[in-house]
Amino acid sequence: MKEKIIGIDLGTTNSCAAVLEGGSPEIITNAEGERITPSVVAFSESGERLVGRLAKRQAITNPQNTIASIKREMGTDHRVKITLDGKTSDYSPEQISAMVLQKLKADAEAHLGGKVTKAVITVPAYFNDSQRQATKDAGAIAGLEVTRIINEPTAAALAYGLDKDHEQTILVYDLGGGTFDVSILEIGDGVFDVLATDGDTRLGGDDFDQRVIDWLAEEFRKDTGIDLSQDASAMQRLKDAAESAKKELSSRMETTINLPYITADASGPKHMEMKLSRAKFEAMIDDLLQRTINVVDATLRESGKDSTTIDQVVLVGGSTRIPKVQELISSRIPGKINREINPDEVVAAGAAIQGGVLAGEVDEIVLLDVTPLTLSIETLGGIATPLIERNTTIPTEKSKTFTTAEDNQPAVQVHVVQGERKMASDNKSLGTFQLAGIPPAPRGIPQIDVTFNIDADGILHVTAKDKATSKSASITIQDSSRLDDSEIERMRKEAEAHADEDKEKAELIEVRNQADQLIYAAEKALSDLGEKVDSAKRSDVEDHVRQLRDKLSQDAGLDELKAAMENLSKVSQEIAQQAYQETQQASGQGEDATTASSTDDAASEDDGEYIDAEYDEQA
Amino acid sequence: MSAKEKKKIKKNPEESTSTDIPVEGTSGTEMELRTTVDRLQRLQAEFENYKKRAQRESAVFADRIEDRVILDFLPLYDNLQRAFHAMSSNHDMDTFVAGIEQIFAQFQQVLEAKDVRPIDAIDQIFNPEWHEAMLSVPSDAAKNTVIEEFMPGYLRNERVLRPSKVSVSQGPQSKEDSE
Repeated sequence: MKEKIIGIDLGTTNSCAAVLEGGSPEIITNAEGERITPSVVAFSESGERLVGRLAKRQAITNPQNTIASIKREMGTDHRVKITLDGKTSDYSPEQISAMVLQKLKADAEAHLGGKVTKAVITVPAYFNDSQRQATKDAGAIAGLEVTRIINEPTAAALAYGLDKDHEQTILVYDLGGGTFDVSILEIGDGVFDVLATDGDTRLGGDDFDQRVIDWLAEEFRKDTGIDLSQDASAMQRLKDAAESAKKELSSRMETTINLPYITADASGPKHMEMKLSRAKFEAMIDDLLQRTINVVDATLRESGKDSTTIDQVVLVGGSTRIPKVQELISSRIPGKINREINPDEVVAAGAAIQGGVLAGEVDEIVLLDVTPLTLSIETLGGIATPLIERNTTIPTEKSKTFTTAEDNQPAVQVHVVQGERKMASDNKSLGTFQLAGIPPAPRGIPQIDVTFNIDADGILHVTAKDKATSKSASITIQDSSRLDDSEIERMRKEAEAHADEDKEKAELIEVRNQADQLIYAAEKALSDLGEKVDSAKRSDVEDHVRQLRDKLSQDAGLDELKAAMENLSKVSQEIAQQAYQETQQASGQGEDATTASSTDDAASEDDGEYIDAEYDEQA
Repeated sequence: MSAKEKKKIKKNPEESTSTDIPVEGTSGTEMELRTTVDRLQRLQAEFENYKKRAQRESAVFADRIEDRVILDFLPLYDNLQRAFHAMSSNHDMDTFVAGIEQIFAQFQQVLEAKDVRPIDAIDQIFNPEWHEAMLSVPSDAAKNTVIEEFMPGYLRNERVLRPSKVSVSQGPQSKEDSE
C-alpha cells in the first residue's frame, strides 16, 4: 500500500489534520479525542513540552513559557525565549510550529497505525515566500516532507470539489476564532489563481463572545449593582455561557442564560437569568459583521470583479455558522453558498484531498459517481417505493420482492421513476415495462423480484422476475444519472417544499391499501370458514366490511378510515378465534383462521425486507 | 425460503449482474478484464455505500445513547418537580431542604453508577491534564499549588470529562524567589 500524505491546516488558534481514506477525507482525532488541536506550545517547569489542549490549560500559570499564535510570526526573525532552570534557549517560529506539527504527526500515526512522513500544509493566501518557506521548514523539523504548500482558500474549494467544475470565480469567506480572511479565486482546468486576498488579523468568534459577556455583565450590574468583572470565577462562567448561547442561537431564535449562584452580596446569593434573542445578538455584533462585509467589498474591488460575477462562495471557520453571516453574504453575492462541510475542518479536508492526489491515490481509485436522486418503482395507489436511495455510490444493485394487488392478476406493470417525492406521479418517469404470464393466483401470493442494477456509467437495468415461473422482463434506462445540476437541485427543493403534504398523502394511501387488504382478508376468512361462523357474527363482519368499503369510496380521511379498520379487525379476529377454538376442539387444522387473524399485522408490516406494496393491475 | 433467497442475492450482487454477458467481438482476456473491473468498481461502491450507512447508523446510535442518558436523569427532574409542588402547599423549609438533599444524593448515585468521579484539585499540585488554570495569584501556598476551585472537574473511566477550573498559587510574593 502506498504511503499516505496527510493534510494539515496549521492555524493561528487551532490546527486540524485529515487523511484521504477510501477516496474521501477523514478528520484525524487527536490523543485527547478531539478533532481540532489548539496551536499552543508550552514548556513546563519540569522541562516537559506540552502541545495542544494541555498547553492551553496551563497557559495562565506559565505565561512566559507558553506560546500561542506563533503563526503570526512565521517568516520573521522573531525569537521565542524560554527560560528553564536559569537556562535560556531561543526558538524560531519554525521550531515552535514544528512542535505543533509533531503532535499532529504523532496523532496521525496513531490513527493510521503506521509511519507518516509526508504532508500537505495550508497557509493563508497572503503568506509571502519567506512565510511559506518557514512553514515548509517547520514541517522538515517535525520530520515531515512537505510535498506541497497550498493556500487555505484553495484547500476549502478543493474540499467542495470545485476544481472539477467548469471555469469559475469563487469567494472564500473565512471567519475563525481570531482571524478573518477573504480570498477571491479563479479556477480553470484545475488550476487555482488567487485574484485578491484581504482580511483582519484581529477579528473573529472570540470578539462575538466578548460582546455577549460585556452585555451580560452590564445587565447584571444594572439589575443588582454588582460588578462581576472583578470576580474571576463569575467571569469564567459568563464566558462559557456566552459561548454556548452564541452557538445555540445559530439554530434557535432565543436562548436563556441561566447562571444560578453567580455571586453573592450581603443580602444573599444572586442568580443570573437572562434571555437573549437571535435578533438582539445580531444587533450586538452588527458592526463586527459589517467590518467583514467591508473587507469583502474591498477584496472584490481589488480583484476587479463584480459581486455578480462570483459563481460560488465557500464558508470557512466556525463563526460562519451564524445565520446572520450567511444572510449578509447572500444578500451581497448572488452566487451559490457552500457550507455543507464542517467549517472548522474544511481546510484540512481539502489539504487531505491534495495529499491524495499527490500520493497518486486519487488516480488509483476510480472516482465513482453517486445517484443524484432516488430511484423507485410505482406501487399500489401510486406510491413511489424506493429501491436505490439518492447519494448511493454506483455501480450498485438492489432488489426487492413485490406481489400482485388483485386475484388472478396476469401481469404487472413496472414503472420506474426518479426523484424524492412520495408519489410516483410527482417524480420524473424514466420508463415502464410489463411482466406478463403470471399464473393465476390469489393476490399477495406471487413473488416478483424487482432488481435495479446501475453500472458505473449510470446506465440502469431494471429486471422483474416471477419467482414461480422464472419468467422475467427488463428495461435499460440510459440517462438515470445524467441530469444537470440545476434540475437535480430543483427536484430536491420541490421535494423539500412538499415534504409534509407528500407524507400525508402517502400515509393515506398506505392506510387505504391496508384497509383494502383487511376487507379482502375478512371476506376470504368468511368464505373459507363457511358454516363455522354463526350467522350473527357473519352479518356483523359483513356490516363492518360494508362500512369500511363505504369509507373508502367516500374518500374518508385518515382517522375515519382507521376507526372503521379497527372495528373490522376486531370482529374478524373474533370470528377467527371462534373458528380456531372450534377446529381445536374438533382437532382439525386452523391454518385459514390464523391467516385471517394475522392479516392486520401483515398489512402494517411495511418496512421489512418483504414489503407489502403491490402493483396495480394495468394489463 | 424467500427471505433466504433474497439475502443470497444481496450478498452476491455480481451473480445477477448483466454486464458479464459476453459482448460480441471481445476476446476472453478482454472479457475477464471487464468482469474484474466491474467487480472492483462494485466492491468499491459497496465500500462507499457501507461507509455512508455506517455514518448514518452511528448518528442514530449516538442519538439512542443520548436517550438512555436522559432517561437516567429524568427521575431527578421528576423529583425536583415533586419537591416544588410539595413546597407550594407546605412551606416548611426543613422538609424542603431534606427533600432536595435526597435528590442530590440520588444525583450522586447516578453519577457514581456511570463511574463519574470528581477530580481532586484544592491543595494539589497543578496538573494541566486535570486542571485548567483560570488565575495565577501570589499566595502563601507553595508555588504551583491549586488554591481555589472555580468549577469542579470530573473523570470518567479515568478519562477527563471536564477539567477543574482553578486558581493556582504563584508562591509567596517576593522578588527573588526561585533561582
